[in-house]
Amino acid sequence: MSQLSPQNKSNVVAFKEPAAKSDVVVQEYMDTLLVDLFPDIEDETLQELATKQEVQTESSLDTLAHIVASIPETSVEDMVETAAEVKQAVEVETDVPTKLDLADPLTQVLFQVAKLIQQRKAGVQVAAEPEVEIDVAVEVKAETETETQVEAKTVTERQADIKEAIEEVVTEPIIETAEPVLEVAEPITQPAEKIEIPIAPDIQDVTETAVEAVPATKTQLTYPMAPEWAQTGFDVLLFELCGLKLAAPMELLGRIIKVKHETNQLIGRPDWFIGAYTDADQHFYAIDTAQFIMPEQKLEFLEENCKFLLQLQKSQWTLGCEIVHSTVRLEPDQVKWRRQEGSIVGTLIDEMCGLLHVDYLVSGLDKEMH
Amino acid sequence: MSTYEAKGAVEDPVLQWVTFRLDNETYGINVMQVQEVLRYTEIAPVPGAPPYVLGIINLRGNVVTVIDTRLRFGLSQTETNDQTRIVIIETENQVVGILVDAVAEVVYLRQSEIETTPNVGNEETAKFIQGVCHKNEELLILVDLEKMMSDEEWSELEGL
Repeated sequence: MSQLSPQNKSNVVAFKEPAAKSDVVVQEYMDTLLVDLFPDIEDETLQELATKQEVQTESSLDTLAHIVASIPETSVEDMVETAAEVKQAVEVETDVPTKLDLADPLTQVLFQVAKLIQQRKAGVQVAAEPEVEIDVAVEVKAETETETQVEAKTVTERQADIKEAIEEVVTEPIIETAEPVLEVAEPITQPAEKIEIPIAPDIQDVTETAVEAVPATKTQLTYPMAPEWAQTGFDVLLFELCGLKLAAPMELLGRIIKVKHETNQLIGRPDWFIGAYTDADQHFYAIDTAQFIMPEQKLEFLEENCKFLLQLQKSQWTLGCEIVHSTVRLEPDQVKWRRQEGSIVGTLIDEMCGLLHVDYLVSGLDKEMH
Repeated sequence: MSTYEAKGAVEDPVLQWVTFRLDNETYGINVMQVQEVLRYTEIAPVPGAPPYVLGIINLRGNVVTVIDTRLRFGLSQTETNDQTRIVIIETENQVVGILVDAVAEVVYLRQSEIETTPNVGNEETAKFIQGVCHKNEELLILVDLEKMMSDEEWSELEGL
């Protein structure tokens, strides 16, 4: 009975790494190959295999041992040849047809041998030492021997040694590593369900209030109170009318027009509307700045005192003023920024004057006129 | 000071009051509220400010809002002169200036000398009048300037 009967197949070593490079390794190498084959071969198949051999052996194990032993002695590198060479060697010994029949048990054995040899070839580290001619194998127990010369043995003796080595190996438990099962997850075709998170009434109210009071963009600014154009240094134009000193950011001003003629009066316009003014084929609307910005002061800004018109952005709106002083370079911390939105965006600390909120003015003027 | 006198001092503390004049009336504010007194200086008008705000001044690099105290007390407007002063007061929330006709002196008053007379002044001033005191044959009206404006008005001033 084969040592590898179905009952004790689990004891077979599935794979065994070669040890040191020596003639003993060659035998162990091939021995292990034989052992690796058996888990895949039924005893019945082995019996059939045995009947095909010229050499009458007691078991299929002997048959394979004979086959392996018949392979010419050579180095480890030469041993791990391609599957074709191994197959050829075996065919010579067993007269197996060259045409591979996968249903043939012997063919299956050959495939296994070839496969394992290729695996070994990929895994065996080629030593830097030159090729060593391996004589007839030393016994596995040669580690205890003191003799250094390798004793040549006959083929029959080798078979016996191999068989003995295999029997020793057989007792070792089999270590099988399950192949990882890769499962491809099915793609999600269904769209994710829309989950509505109910908002507590209190939280929602607070959120709405917070949005109104402090826009989200302002919280990300270095100077939350200052507009975006004033986060870094900026230039302002200082001008004056009716004794009132004001400033406007240069970035938001268009042309500075010197008044050369009277404005055209338009019927039905508010009190702060001076008139229409044409310059260089462009039409503008002149505004009484004091009346529009500070009606409570009741400052009397006479048109005859209007010397300059300051264009707001690229719009048609212009602010009338008496004097244009100069431009000043400011940093954001030189302005006391207002919290509430209005015509004045802040107060210049050194100049002690208000800084116009040009965007707010333009939008307010547009609303008034439409 | 004897123990009896010291005990009396604790029970009837002496407070210091800075007195100023508006129209023909003399008012007093707790000295702890007064930061400094400035001569009249040019006040820059601020567009968009409440009517009781005269404007702003630059006080050592800080913008200080100046309140028209006469308007706040319900009095008529008047021209400024050499006696006009700006009293810088420090409230719980901020520092503001009040324009007064003149600053008189610092007086020492005991708590017992202060009388509570709710009928003094008009409806507007009654809100922040703490009491009155007869000193040197003169009626001294003691005011709490923090109550001179509501919380919303103080917040509006802070935003200027």
